[in-house]
Amino acid sequence: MIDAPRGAGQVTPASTAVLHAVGALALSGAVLAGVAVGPVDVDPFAAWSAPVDDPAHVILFRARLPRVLLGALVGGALGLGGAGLQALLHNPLACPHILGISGGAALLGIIAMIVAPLPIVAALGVPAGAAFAFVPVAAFVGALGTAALIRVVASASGRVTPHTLLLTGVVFNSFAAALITFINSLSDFYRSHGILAWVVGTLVVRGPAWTWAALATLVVGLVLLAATARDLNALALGEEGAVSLGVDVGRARRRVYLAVAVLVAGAVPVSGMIGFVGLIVPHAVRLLVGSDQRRVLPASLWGGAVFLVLADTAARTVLGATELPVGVVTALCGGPFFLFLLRRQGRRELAV
Amino acid sequence: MRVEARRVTVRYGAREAIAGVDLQVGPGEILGVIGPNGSGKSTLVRALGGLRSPDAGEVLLDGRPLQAVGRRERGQVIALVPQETHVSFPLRVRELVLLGRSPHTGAFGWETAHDLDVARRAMERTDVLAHADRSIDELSGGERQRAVLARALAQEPRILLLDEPTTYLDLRHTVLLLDLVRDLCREARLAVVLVLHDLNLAGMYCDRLALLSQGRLHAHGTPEEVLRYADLCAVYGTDLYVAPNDVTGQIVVLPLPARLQRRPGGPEG
Repeated sequence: MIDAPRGAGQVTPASTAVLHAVGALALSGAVLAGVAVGPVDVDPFAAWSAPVDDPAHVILFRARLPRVLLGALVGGALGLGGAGLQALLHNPLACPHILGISGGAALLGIIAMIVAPLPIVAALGVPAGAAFAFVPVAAFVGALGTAALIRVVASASGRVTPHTLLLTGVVFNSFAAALITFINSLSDFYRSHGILAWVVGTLVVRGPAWTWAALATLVVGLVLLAATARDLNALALGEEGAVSLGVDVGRARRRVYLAVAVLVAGAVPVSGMIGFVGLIVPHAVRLLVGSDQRRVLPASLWGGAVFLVLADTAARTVLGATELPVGVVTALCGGPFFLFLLRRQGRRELAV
Repeated sequence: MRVEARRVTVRYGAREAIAGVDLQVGPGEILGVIGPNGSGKSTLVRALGGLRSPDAGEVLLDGRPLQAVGRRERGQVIALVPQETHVSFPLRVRELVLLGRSPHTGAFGWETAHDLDVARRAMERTDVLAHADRSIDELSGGERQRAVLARALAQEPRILLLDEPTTYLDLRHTVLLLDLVRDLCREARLAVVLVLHDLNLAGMYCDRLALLSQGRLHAHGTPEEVLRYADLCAVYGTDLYVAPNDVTGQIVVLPLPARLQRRPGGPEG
C-alpha cells in the first residue's frame, strides 16, 4: 500500500472539510488578534457583550471588526487569485498584482470613482449612490481587459512563455501606475490622497455594501476556481499534457481569468493595489499542503485572509498612532521573497 | 482499438510538417516511426493523439473521426508519453500518476479506491512504487520517464503513443522500458505507436516500421522491408552500414564516419 506522509494523503471530501475547518480556526485567531490590538487595546469578548454605547463596544463594531473582516475578504481573494494564476501559467511568480491585473482594475476603478460624483452623472439622471456601484464594475472590466490585453500582446510573438507574460504584466503595471499618478495630479488634494492610497494599497471601509460586494465576488471566484481545480492539476504537465488528459485548456484558461477578474474587482475598490499577497500565500500554502490544486486553492483562500488580517494589524500598530498602508507591509515582506523565488526558479529550470 | 491516419497533412504556417500520411495500428501491435530530425515524427504522434487536428485528411479512431470523439473519451482511450515532461510544480510521483485517472474521474470527481489501485499497479509495473512519495524533481531521468509512463498507464488506454521515450535513458533502462511497452502491448492488446531515433531498437521492438522523410511516408512495412540500405542512406543523407547481425539475424544499422563512407550523401550522391 501507499503510505502517504501526514498532510499529503489523498484529497477526499473529508480531508477538504478538515482543511476548511483548520483554515476557519486560523482565521478566527487572526481576527481576534486583529480586533484586540490597536491604539486602544480591546478585550473582544468583553466588548462583544458590553452595552452598545460602551467605548469598547463601539471600537469593536464600528472600527475594528469591519476593517478586519474586509481585510480577510480582500486577503482571501488575493491569495485565491494568485494560486489560480500560478497554476494556470505554470509560473510560481505570477499573481494578480505582478501581472498588472490589479493595475488595470485600479485604473478603471479610479476613473469611475472620479466620474461618479461629477455633476454630469447626476445630470444624466443617475442617483449618486448608484453611480458608485459602477466602480466595482469598472474595476472588473479593467481586470478582465488587462488579462485579455496581456494575453494578446504576449502571444503576438507566437508562443506565450510565462516570462513574456510576466514582463508584459510588469510593463503594463508601470503604465497603469503612471496613468493613475497623472490622474492624481489633475485631482484636488483631498481626492488625490485617496488615489495615492489605492496605488500603495490600503484597506478602506467604505460601507456595508462594498463589503458585501467583496464577499459576493469572493464566492463567485471560489466556485469558478474550485470547478477548475482538477484541470489546473493536469495543467502542471503543460498545455499539451493537459489536452492529452482530456482537459479543455481554453475553458480552464477562460475560467481562471474570469475568476481572477471577479476577485480583483471585489478587492481593488476597497483596497487598491495590495501587492504580493497572491504571490507569497500560495507558496507558503504549497509547503504545507503539497501541490494538489484541490488543496492549494482553498488553503490559499484561508491563508490569504489570515496573512492580510495580520499584515493590516501590523500596519495599524507598528508606528503607534500613525497608520501605514497595508500594501507597504505586504511589499516589505514580498519584495525579498520574490527575489528569493526568482533565484530558486532559475536553479530549478537549469536543473531540468 | 485501432487508430488510423488517412492522408493526414499538418502545416505549421506554410511548411508542411507531414503530408498525406497513411498509417494505421491495431490492438497488440507496435508501429515504429523512424526518420531524420524534422521529418515529422512528433507531428504525426501529435496528430494521432488528437493534440493537433490535421489540416487535410483525417485521423480515425475505430473508424470514427477523432475530432468527433469527446475530450474525455479521448483521454480515456489514448495516452501519450512525450519526449520530455516539464512539470511546473514539484508534484509527488503518486500525484503525477493519479493525473492519469482524471479523464475517468471528471472535473469534480474524487479518486475512488479503484483509481488508487490502478495508479498503484501502474507504478508497480514501471517500478516507481518505491518513489511514490518523492517529488518529481528528485528523480533521475530514468525514474522520471518511468513515472511519466506510469501516468500514461494509469489512463488505462487502448492506444499508447510514445515519442522518443528513451532519449534520456541509459542502455539498461532503455531495454527495461521498451520490454515493458512490448509486454503491455501483447498482454493488454494495446495499439502502440513508438517514435524512436535508434534504428536498431526500432527494428528490435517494432512489428512494423514507418520511415518518414520530409513529412512523407517514404517506406512502410516489416523491419526487414524498411531497414534497407538504399532507402536509409537516401532518407538520412549519409552512408550507413546495414546488414543482418550473426546472432539474431536482425538488421543492424550503423552510421559511418566520413572517411569510411563509400557513397557520401547516400547511394545517389
